[in-house]
Amino acid sequence: MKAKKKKCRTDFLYPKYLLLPVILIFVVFFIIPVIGGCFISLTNWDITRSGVRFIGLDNYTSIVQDSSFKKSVVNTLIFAISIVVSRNVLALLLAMIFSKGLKTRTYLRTIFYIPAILSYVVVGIMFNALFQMDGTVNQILNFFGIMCRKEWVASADTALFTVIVEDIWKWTGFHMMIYIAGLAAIPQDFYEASRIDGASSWKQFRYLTLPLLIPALTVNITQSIIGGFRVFEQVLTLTKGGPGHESTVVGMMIYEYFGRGFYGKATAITMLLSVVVVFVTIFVRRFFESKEVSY
Amino acid sequence: MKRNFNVFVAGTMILASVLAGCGGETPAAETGGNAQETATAETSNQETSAEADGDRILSVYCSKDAWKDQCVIAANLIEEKYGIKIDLVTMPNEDIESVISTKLATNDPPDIFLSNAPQTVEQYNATQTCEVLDNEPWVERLAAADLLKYSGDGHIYAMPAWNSSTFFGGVYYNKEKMKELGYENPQPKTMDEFWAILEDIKGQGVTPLYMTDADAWTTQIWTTVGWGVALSDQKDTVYKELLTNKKKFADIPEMVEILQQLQDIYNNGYANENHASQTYDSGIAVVGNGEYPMVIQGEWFEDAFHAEFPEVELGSFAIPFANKDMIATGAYVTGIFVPKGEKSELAKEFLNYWASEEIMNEVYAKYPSASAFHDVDGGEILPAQKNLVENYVNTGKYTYEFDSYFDTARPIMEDYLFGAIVQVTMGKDPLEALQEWDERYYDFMKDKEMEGFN
Amino acid sequence: MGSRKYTWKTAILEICMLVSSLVIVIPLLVVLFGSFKTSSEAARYNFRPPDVWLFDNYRQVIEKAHLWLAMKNSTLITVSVVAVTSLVCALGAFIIGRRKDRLSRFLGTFFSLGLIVPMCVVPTILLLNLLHINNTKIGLILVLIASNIAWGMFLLTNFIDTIPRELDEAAFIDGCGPLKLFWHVILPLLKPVLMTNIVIVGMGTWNDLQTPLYLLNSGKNITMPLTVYNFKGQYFSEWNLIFADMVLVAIPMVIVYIVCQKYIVAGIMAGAVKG
Repeated sequence: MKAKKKKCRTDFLYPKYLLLPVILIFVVFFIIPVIGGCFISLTNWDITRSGVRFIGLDNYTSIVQDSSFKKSVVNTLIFAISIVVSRNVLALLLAMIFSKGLKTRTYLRTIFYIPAILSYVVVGIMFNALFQMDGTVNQILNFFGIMCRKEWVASADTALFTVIVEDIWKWTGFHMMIYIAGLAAIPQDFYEASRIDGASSWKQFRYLTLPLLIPALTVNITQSIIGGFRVFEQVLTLTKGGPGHESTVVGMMIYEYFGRGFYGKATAITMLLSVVVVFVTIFVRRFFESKEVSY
Repeated sequence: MKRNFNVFVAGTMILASVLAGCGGETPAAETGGNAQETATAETSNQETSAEADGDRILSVYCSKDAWKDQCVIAANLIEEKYGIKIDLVTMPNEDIESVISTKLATNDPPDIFLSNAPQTVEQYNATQTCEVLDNEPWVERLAAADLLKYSGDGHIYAMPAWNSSTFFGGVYYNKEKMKELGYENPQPKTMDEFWAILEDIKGQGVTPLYMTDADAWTTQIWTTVGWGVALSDQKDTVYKELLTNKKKFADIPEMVEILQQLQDIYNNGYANENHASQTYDSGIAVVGNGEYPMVIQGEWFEDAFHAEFPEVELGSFAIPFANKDMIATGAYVTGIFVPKGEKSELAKEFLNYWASEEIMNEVYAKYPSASAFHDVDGGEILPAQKNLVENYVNTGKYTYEFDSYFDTARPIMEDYLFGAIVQVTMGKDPLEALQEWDERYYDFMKDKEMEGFN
Repeated sequence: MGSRKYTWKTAILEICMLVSSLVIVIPLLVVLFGSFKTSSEAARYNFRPPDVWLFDNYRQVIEKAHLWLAMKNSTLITVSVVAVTSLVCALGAFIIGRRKDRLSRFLGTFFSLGLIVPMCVVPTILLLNLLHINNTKIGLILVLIASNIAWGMFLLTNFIDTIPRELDEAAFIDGCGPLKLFWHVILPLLKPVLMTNIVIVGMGTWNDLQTPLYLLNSGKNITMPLTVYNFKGQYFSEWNLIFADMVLVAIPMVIVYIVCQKYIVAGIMAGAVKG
């Protein structure tokens, strides 16, 4: 009762009209296009057609049967799962190492974060140089006696792999920062208490660190899942989905359909992707919310 | 919820009035306003300065490959003489088509763009989105007006940027280097002779061919010419069958064979090992410095090569596909399109200047070419192109390239057909590649509601 | 886990970490050194320092790729997007964070859509046409603000909770209205998380390739990442110049990052993790 009373007393300090600028911009320049997109996705609009008409869910059904769309879905899933796992495992590992009082930790933290501030176009071209036949990676492999003449980016079996490596390279540092922040928020006495109880370090990690890291985990895992499903610029600047369609992803399919002038279909894929990402994100959030603990 | 909605409406009105004029009252709103004002001021400044110039600014979209130089030469002269400023935007080949398509479809086109004509008329829906140029003054001066007319309605939608016809594909080689290797003016007339040359050069410890398969459009020169030549005697039937779904690509043995031969180049080690990651323009340097003697290219290669290595001479020969002594040329030119829009009159004026003798002469001075206009001399065309033009085009030993029959499928060719061809260079089974393409092609044609596809 | 003794185990770990940081450093060196090399030397993609340091590469690339113009455009776009996003988000987060009613819960979810749903290119272009701001910086700026609002709201709403309400009440007693309260009390306290927001939104905007690629169709509006993208297309074999362009795109962000590093960590700690 007390809380309610307090609310009534102070709400006039927080007038709703101050929300308007943010709502207005967001609605006009983000939500309206999305709603417009819903309509466009139900039409047969393509560049060569002058009479645009509603065709119901035809775009959706034909996309689902499209074999390169299927390929792109498989690739997107492989990509998303690989990066969610790798980004987070590596980032958490790094974060835990950095909380061990290394002398150079400020330097190292800065270095590991730097990829996150580079543009995809920069990283994409950089990885092109690294993973060419005569590129840096093969040079290093050769230096260690592993003869390798592979065209990593341009080969069907490794193209998607290089995109995954690029993504992990770029984003691990970002997630590491969040884990560092999460670890720092765990009070020291918990560890001391558990040490007195004689818990092994694995047990400490499993039953103490991990549950207390749930907020950081939630942020990191949702962020990487969203990034994983929405993958586009990584592919555009590195492999362009090639060779053929071996490394294509859903984001790339949208781009291609636009390129070919199929606006209805391209928008339909955007809508499908959005729905999937929204549901996966809600699911993950729910899952972590149920695990959240406070000591 | 209803109450919230009312608040929302009331709020919108308040905000509207705040934006309308009483924004500066509070420190917070002031800062917000300022940030936006600077941005607006900047944009409107540019717009007013554009108007001050009499609005004589045109935005031009152009691919990065080869054409840009010619564009810059013409644009600079026109600005100097007639005061029309050009805002040139260049983009990688594979993006420009999609960006232009999107802009045209959303009614937001550039004032002018360069693309293959009439090849891309359908892709850009130019019959709806671009100006018909039939009545422009330069039309009667065209050296090859028929070539430019779009087969769908007989109208002209683009002005040739400089050349009268395009695409003399074949092997372009470094003459001196080939001489060193024991070949002075090689002109193989059968595939066996062609393979023998490659084998011999390889035997001398030199990799004969430099392929740039990161640019799929360079890889498919082999097939568009090869298929064109191999199918030249069935051209009246086979393409129609493919376009009406009576035949599949994979059913045509010539197509599979030409693809297989492409793969043989790589399997036999005749091409550079790093072909998959190399792009078109890297070929100029390696042929120029003699590292590799030969490339499979079109005449634009020689143009660009000549600009960079004027002292090195190139030679050429036609690849004797299916043992025929014949080349396949393109039924298109580099065209300048004028999208419908506020500035289309100015754009047409610009085209007129471009077509004038004095401007064309300047372009041909650096890039000699078969002139697009019968009253302008295109200059002495470079020797390797001349060889192909004189011995094949002028003697009638030519046919049209494969691509020229498939304008309808143009929007998916880069993504799917060229992509499949590149995969063949990396070991994919040719038949399988064609079958996959068949599937893509079928889906696309069905979407377009083409006859026979349902 | 803080103040532990520096044992030999830690020392080994430290060395391992320094070695593994090469994974980041080497690619950066390939680019940085490459940008001072000749084109053929750069195309060897190694991380040796150049034989001769060619500073002229930078002059060439600035000229050929119109980098001054791009730098000006990118700065203007980034600064506007950052300033407006931060301000409207701070205002919005202040209200949503303080009012614990259904509306604010709904809005929290509503804005988080922006984190999840990708931009719809075609309707966006149509909308900008309708408003007659297609192909203008202002149009691009508004679209970018809208797509960054979700992130800003997320970060700031979480942080507002950590500012004690008692401050609001004290300010009210001192005679502050809502805006004065926001401007004089809340905004200064938001500084660390605002800095985080500024850095993250700023970097995202500066680095963005896709939005300007579709929304700006004129050379006078070119942005920094677009110069690299176009430049790579035009001068593919001149790796030294491409590398130089890449360095110039990255440098401003690296500087901002190094200067603002402590805010990023503090802001992430306070904002994101407590969510």
